[in-house]
Amino acid sequence: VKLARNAILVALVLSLVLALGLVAGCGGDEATTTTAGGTDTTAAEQTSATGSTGEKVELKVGAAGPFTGQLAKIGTDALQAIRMAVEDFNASGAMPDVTFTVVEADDGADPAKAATVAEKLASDDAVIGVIGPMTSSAVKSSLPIYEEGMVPMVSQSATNDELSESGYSVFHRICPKDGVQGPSIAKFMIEDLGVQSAFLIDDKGTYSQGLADQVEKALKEGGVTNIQRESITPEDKDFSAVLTKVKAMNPDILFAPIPSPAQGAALEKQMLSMGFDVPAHAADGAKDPTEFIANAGGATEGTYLTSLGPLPESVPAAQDFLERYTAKYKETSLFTAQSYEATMVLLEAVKKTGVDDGKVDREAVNAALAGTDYTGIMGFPISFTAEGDLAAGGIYIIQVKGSEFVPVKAIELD
Amino acid sequence: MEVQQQLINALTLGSVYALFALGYSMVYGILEMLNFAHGEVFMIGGFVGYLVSTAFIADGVLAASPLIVIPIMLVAAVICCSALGVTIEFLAYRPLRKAARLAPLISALGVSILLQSVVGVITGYRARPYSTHLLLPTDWTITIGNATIPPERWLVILVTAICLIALDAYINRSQVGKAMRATSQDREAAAFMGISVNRIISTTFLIGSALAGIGGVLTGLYYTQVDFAMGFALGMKAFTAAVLGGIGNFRGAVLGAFILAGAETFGSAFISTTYKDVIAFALLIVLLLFKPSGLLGQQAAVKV
Repeated sequence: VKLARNAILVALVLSLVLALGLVAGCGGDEATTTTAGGTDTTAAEQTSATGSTGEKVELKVGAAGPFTGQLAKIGTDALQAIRMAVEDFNASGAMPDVTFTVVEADDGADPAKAATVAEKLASDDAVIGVIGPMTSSAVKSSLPIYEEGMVPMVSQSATNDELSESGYSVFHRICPKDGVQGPSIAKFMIEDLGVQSAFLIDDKGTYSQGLADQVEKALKEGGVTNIQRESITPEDKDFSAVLTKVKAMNPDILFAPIPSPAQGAALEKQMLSMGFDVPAHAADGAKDPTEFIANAGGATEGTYLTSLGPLPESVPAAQDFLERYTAKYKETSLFTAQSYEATMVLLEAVKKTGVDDGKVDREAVNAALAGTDYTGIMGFPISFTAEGDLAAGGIYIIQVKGSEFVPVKAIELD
Repeated sequence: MEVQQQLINALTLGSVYALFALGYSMVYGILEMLNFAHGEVFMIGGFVGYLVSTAFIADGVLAASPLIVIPIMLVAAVICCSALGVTIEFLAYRPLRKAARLAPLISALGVSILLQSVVGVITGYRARPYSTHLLLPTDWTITIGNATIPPERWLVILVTAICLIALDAYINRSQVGKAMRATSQDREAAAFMGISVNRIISTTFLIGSALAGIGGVLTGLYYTQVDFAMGFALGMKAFTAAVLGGIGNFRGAVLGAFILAGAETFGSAFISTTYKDVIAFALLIVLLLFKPSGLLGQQAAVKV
């Protein structure tokens, strides 16, 4: 009798633990509007009912990304840049009859949550498009939902190849895809660093695995056959088992495309404390001066990173934005400038489409996006291929030097 | 050569799990409840250590005196965590002592979520760095054969060993230890014998939480960072270790911790890092199939 009761207790405990995991995992994932959601809708409805009476139409730009969790830093920076872009666009008077607001859709980089918040955005008629989601896994799970609602998307950072290859018409991105990034990184490693052996670590996520696959393939094609590969998970904090393998191999390069700068820095700190230091190449996601450089206390010195656009610091057109942003929020992280640019690209498409009777035809915005030809703070003209990939731009290799990232080499797209 | 290094890795990880698992096991032994908030006490210990170390780094006295800073971090964490543990017991569990068995469990979950959320909000859900390389000079690294043991690792192993030996002696030799064992066997009978059960329970929480505080600081040094969810993530492993060794049994928890750490480390070393957790938990299931009450657990007496 006691044993049976114990079994029931254990079952209850386990379900409670699972419940705790769920609760802990979703710290405020609800899609929240910057203004009260209910009143927004009624305002929009009233306007459409009364026609254009000179009253301002309120439209919303969805911002989807990880605003909490491991990637909260790049997510929050992106969100702030999106807000700035929307404020700038409102203030510019380009569309005097419209006020744009931002709807936050926090997905915590979790594919399941990304799908839930996508439903909310897609079902809100005032949402004219979405900036993000930022992570490839999140785009993958939410793309079918956005496609069904014909919600135009511009992702600032989702690089997985499949996203644009799967035939969805609403998907656009202003970063090069892994299919371009991977071979460029491999080319840099072989030609500039002269590597002959490599150790690859991914975190099992769509982005990380996809990019590691690409680099592995391109390295092999380039004649580097001495390659080892391991995986960690985004929750891992103890890397000693995998680092022991790295130490035993002593590779010419450690390629670790781990999107969380804190985790990437911890990996290198633990490498240093284990008494060895091999040249490392982190991926684009790690470009965060606080978490990847300051908090690493020197452990990441010399690490190469990929930047999916030119360093904003080196683009004259971006200086005004950078100044205003850093005055308000101290520092940018990797996708901050891209988020601003992506928002402007979307709003330009809305401007081209125009507002009819207080409403915007999402399908028309999507068509206008396809014809984008816009040069903003990134310093090069942005246009899209038929699949929604970036038609120009390049891959930039940067490096940790002292307390900042410095450009090393630009690799142009063919 | 890799085997030696991985053995050190397993020892370090096992030490962290052991410090953590003890708190679960001790409380379960006496109250037959799972103290879910234990993981959060552990996490807060990590943050206390972080605050102390940053204060020292800011003052610039650090480089000269790692021997002073780390003990201060540990002592601060021990004080804060034992106070927190005893307070949690007093406020959230004691009023429910006579309630249905699930009530304190729910209360524990509530405290756990509350503490996790509070720290999460304060830290903006982001990790905080431990400047391990500043706190511990890298030339303190010990080399045995082909294995290198960085200072934070031997520190973890050493401090854990001291805590475990001291605790073992305390529980088995001292008057209070005897009272603890008596309370764990039969709370009512212990009360009849003149043992102040409430005081013994408070002491148990105090000791368990103090160990968690030490564990939090050591884990911070070892992982080089702390975050609001670390208690939960590690707690799952520590809880598993406690069950593996026979929950409620003090030495069992330590044994379970080292077995689990060994399975994880060698699983990722010789099979694949991808299947680390799969290997560890498969081992747990197999062991529990053959020893349902855990390695050193006692078969519950059948009460009619």
